[in-house]
Amino acid sequence: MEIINKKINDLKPYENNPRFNDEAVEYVANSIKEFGFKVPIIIDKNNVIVAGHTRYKASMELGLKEVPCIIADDLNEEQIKAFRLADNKVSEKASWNYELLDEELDNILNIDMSEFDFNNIDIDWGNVSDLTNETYEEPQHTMLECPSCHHIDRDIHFKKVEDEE
Amino acid sequence: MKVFLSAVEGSAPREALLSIIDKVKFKYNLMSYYYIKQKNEDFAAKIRDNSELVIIDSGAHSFQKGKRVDWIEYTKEYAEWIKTFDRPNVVGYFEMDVDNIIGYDKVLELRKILENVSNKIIPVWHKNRGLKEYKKMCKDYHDRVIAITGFKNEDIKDEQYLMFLKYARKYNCKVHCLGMTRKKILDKVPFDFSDSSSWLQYTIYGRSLDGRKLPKIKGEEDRKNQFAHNYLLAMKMQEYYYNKWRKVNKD
Repeated sequence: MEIINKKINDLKPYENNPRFNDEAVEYVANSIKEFGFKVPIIIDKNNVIVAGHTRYKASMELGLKEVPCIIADDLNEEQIKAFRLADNKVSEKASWNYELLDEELDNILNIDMSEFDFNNIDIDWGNVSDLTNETYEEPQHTMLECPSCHHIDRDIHFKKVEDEE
Repeated sequence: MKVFLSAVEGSAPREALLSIIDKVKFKYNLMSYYYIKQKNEDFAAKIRDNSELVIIDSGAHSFQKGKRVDWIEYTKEYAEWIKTFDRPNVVGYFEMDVDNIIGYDKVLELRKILENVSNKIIPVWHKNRGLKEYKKMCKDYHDRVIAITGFKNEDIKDEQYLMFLKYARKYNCKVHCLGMTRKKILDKVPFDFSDSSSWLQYTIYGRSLDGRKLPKIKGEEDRKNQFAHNYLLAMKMQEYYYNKWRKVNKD
């Protein structure tokens, strides 16, 4: 399997790519910045991307001129279509073993893993106000009465009906 | 945060879940006793046995929409049913929080009926009970599950949820925010539990939970598949929120 460098402007995203990947671009770009381009983009013989649309977008964002590619010239048109879907689909089947994940994360000390969406989110409870009669303010509602059955309820349970003239 | 998927008892969602029950281990499901008692008991048991965790609503939400029953009789039936249904993977049973219909004093009487049969009854705080009662609830139910509501501007303003959570944590209570489906809040406030029927709503309106438009259905089989599709996507959402808050919540 040969890896060749291709000018990024020569690559063509597949126009019917059925994956939403915009939210992942930032993290993939961070990964390329931190570790380099380690997973080539798979393209067909016409330079249309088969797998690696997110890596392509991340590369564009990073201003890369060239990216490593593998040309899948051993696959026919139908196989390429199938591989494009299968490559994405199989990742859906995997899930995390959180215990092992935490063990691994705990051993990574010098790399900020939140750059790759491994959150170390926390709440600063000291900054959250105490619950008191002064800090808690009851939500106020507008109550309405149905002119027909006289049922009284919150305004959100009523629908505005235009006058029929 | 464990987001329980609700509204599984309707006929179409029920068929959808039964079609995948042998292939997928479910995570967290919320079912309503009000619908379970309408010939759904076997289904509820199947869901319980194939779920990591289950939580049971009393049906109080249905009563907010106008349905009425004999409160004492209904609660006694609910209590009897709890005795037979309970398993270790059932997190708890919401109380009959119909304060706005019968008043809090009567709700406490109903709670007593339920607590005579189970120590897993979950009190649901509403603003009519007053802040003092919230604090008392946290003390009385220390190390257990309590609930607040997540309907916009009903009992608690969005910016005040963290204060309620902070107080509950003092007593090591786990907090379920009922009906809280708003991403904006779920991404900022680490409730221990919440519930969502978005997977169902999206299907009804012909949308995939990831935003795509679903193809027009051609028959019951398509309909079932679309419900199953969105349920499975909702399981991804469950994974997302579990992962997001698992350290904060010590899950």
